[in-house]
Amino acid sequence: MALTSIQFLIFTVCLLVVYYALPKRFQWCVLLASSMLFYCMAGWKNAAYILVTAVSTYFAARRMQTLAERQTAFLKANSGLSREEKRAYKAKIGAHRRRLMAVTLVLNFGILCVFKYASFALSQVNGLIRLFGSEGFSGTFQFLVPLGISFYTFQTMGYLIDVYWKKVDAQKNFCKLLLFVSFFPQITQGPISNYAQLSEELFTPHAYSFENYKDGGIRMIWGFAKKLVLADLLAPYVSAVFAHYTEYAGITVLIGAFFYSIQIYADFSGYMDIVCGLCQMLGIRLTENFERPYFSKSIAEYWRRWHISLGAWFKTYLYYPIAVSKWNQKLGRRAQKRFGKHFGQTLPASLALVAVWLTTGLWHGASWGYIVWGGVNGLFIIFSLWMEPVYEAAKRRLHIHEERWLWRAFQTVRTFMLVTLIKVLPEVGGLRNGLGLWKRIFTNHSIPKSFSALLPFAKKGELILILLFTAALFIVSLIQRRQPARQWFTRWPKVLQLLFLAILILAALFFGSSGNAGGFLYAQF
Amino acid sequence: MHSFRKTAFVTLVLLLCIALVFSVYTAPYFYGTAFSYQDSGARNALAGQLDTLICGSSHAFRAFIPEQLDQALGTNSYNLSHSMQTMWGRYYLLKKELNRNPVKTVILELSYNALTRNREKEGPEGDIYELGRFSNPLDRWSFFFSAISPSEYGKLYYDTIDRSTTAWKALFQGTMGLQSTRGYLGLDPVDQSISPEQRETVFHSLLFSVKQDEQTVSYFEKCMELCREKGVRVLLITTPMPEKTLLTYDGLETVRGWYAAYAERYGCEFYDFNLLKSKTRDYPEDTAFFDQTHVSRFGAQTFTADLCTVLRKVENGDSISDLFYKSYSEMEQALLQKA
Repeated sequence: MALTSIQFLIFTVCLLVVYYALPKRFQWCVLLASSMLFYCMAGWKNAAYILVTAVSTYFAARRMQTLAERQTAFLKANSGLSREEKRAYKAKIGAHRRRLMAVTLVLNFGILCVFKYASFALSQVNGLIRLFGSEGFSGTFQFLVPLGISFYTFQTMGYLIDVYWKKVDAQKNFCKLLLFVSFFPQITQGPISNYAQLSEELFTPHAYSFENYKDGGIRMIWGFAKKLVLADLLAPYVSAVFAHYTEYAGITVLIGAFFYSIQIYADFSGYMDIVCGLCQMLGIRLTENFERPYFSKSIAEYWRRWHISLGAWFKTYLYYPIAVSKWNQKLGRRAQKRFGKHFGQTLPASLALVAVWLTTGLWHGASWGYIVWGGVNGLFIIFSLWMEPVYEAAKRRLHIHEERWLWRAFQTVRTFMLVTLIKVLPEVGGLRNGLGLWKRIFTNHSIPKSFSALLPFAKKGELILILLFTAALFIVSLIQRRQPARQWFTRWPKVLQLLFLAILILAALFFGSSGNAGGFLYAQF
Repeated sequence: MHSFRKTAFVTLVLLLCIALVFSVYTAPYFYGTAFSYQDSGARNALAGQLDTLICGSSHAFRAFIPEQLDQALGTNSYNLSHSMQTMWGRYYLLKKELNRNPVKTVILELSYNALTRNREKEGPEGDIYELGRFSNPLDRWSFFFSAISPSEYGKLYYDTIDRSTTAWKALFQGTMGLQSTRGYLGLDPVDQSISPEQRETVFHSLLFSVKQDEQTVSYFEKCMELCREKGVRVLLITTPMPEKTLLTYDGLETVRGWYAAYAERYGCEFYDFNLLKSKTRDYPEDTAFFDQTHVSRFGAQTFTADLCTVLRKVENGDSISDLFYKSYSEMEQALLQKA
C-alpha cells in the first residue's frame, strides 16, 4: 500500500478512529494490528521474514537478559569469591551472551545479505572466475526482497546490541517487541529508531489532542505536497538527463544533478513529514531524519543532518565499537608515539570511518557505484580530519572568520555542490556511467544558445512550479533556523492557513493522479 | 469531547475550503467554452428545432458539415459527435436530444472501430469529454455516475484541473469561444499519398481489430432501438479513409459485414463511403485527408456533398448501386491496378 495512495488515506482515517475510540491501554494493540495488516498487504509471505527477525531477537534478548540477571544474582550471592573466580565467571557468561548475540546477528544480517547482495556477490565471483578463463556460474538469484528489510533489520539488531550492552532491558512481551520491529509508518524508509526512545512512545497511552491532530495533519499535507508536487515533477527531468547525459551540454547535466538533489530531498523528507505527521496525530514522536541538510558547511556536518537515524545507528553500533576497541586504541597510541598527537588521534577514527562508509555504501545498494559513493563520502570526511590543522592555520593566516556570513555562504554552497556531485555517482546506472556523467560536467563547456537548448526536456509551466516550490522549501528552511516552521505558519490568519492547505491538497491530488507519481526513492534501499 | 468536536469542525471547514478553491478554479472550465466539445450552449439555443442529428466519434466530428447538409437538403441538423465518443456517450446524448427535438433522421457514423473499441484499453477520455457537453449539473452527475468508475476518479480529477488551467489561459487571452459550428470542426490537410510500389508492400500488412466489445455493441443496439421507438430514419455511414489505410489494413470487409447485417436487421440504410467509386478522383490523397482515418476540411466538404447526392438519389428513387463498389476486395483490386 503506497503512502501516497487513496487506500493509505482511508487506512489512516480508520486507524485514527479506532486508536482513539478504544481504551488507551489497547492503543499499542491497535498499532500492532495495523502494522501487521499494512505489512501483509504488501505480500503476506513477507511476514515470515519479519517474524523470523522478531522471534530470533526476542528469544536471544530474553536469554541474554536472563544470563545478565543470573550473573548479577550469582555474584551478589557469592561475594566471597576471589577476583579471578569472579572474572572467570563473568567471562563465561559474557562469552555465552556474545555467542547468542553473534548467532542472532549473523542470522538476521545473513537474511538481509542473501536478499540484497547474493546477486551482486555472484556476479563478482563470476567476474573473477572469468578472469582466469573459466565460464563461471550460470543463472542469477532472483528474490522478492521483503518490504523494509534493510530498515527493520538494522532497527532490531540495534535493540539486540543495546540489550547486550545492558543499555535497555529485554522486552518480555513478544507482541510489544513485534510492534517495535514492524511499526508500519517507519517500516519502508525509516527512521531507524532506537528501542529506548521508540518503546516509550509506542507503549505509553496517548490522550487525544487537537494540537497533535492539527500539527500532524499540517505536516502530512506538507509532506504529500513535497513528494507529489516537487519530487515527482522533477523525476522525469532527472531521468531524461541521466539517461542521455552524453547528448546534453555539461551545464545541462549539472542542472540535472541539482534537480536530483532537490528531488531526493523532497522525496525522502516528504516521506518523513508524512510518517512523522501521522505519528504525531497518534501522539507518537518519531526521530527526525533531516535538519536542513543542504545548509551544511561540510560533508561531515551534512551527514549529521541527512538521514540522521542511519548515521546515528552506524555511529553507535559500528563507529564507536571500532574506534574505541582495544586494538584500535593500541594502534593509535603507537602512532602517536611515532608520528605525533594529531596522527595518533586521527588514525583510529579514520579506520572506523572507512568501515562505516563502506558499509553505508553497501547498505544503500549492492553495486560498485554505491560502494564507491560511500568510499568517496568517507574520503572527504577522513581528509578533512587529517587536514584540520592545515585548515586552521590557513584560516588564521588569511584572517578568515568562521562566523562571517560570506565564509559560511561559501562553505554552504561548496558543500552543496560536492554533495550533489557525489550523490549522482551511483544513480546513473553503474559506476562507469557515474564517472562518465562527471566527465561530461567538467569537460563539456558548450553554452546552449537558448533556454530550450539549455533544458530541452523542460516545460515552462512545470519549471516555474518547480522553481516556486523550491523557493518555498528554501524559505521554510530559513525560517526553521529560528523557530519550527509550523509555529510560524500557525501565526498566519486562519483563513489564509486554510486556503493555503486547501491549495496544497488540491495540488498534491492533481500531481498524484497524473499517472507520473512514482514510489518513494528510499524505499529501494 | 471538546477536542473531538473541534477536530470535526476544523476538518469540515477545511473540506469546505477545498470545495471552494476547487469551484473557483474550475469555474471557467465548467461555465466557459475553451474546448470544442463544450457546445451545450449552442445545442440549447437550437433545442426544439433540429430534425437531423449526426452521432459518431472523431471521424464524424471532422467529416459531417451540418450547414452544408442543411443548404443542400433543407434540413436543420446538428453534429453531436466528438473525439473518442463512446457508444454509451452517443446513446446518452442522442436520447437527450431526441427528447427535445422533432428529429426525423439520425445519422450514426460507424468507422472501422465503432464496435471494437474497448474501454479498458482506451481509458475514460471519451467520457470525460462527454461530461463537458452537459450544462445541466443533473445531466452531468447522472452521466458521471453511470460512466466513470471509482478507479478513474483520479484521472478525471487530473483532467478537470488540467482543462481548467487551459480555460483560465483562454479567459485571460480572450480566446474563450466555441470553435465548432453546429458541432463540426475541420482539420487542415496532410498529404497521405502512397506510391504504386508502396501499395504492394503495405497491402494487408496490418489488421484492424475484429473483436466486438460487448458493452459497445449493447449500447449501439440501444441507440438503434431508441431510434426505432422514436420512429426516426436511421442512416449508418462509414466515412472515407485514405487509400494507404484501406490497402494496409485487413479486416474492413468483416466490419462492413457487421454493419450491413445491422442495417438489414433494423431495416435501415447503410452507406460505406470507402467504397465510393469516385473517391479516387474526388478525394486527392494530398488534400482530402488529415491522417490515416480522418478527412480534412476539403475532404469533409466533398464527403458531405457526396452524402447529399446519395440521399437525394435515394429520395428520388434512383439507383445508387453503380456509385459504390460491392466489396472491399473489388475496391482494393481497383486501387492496386491504379497507376
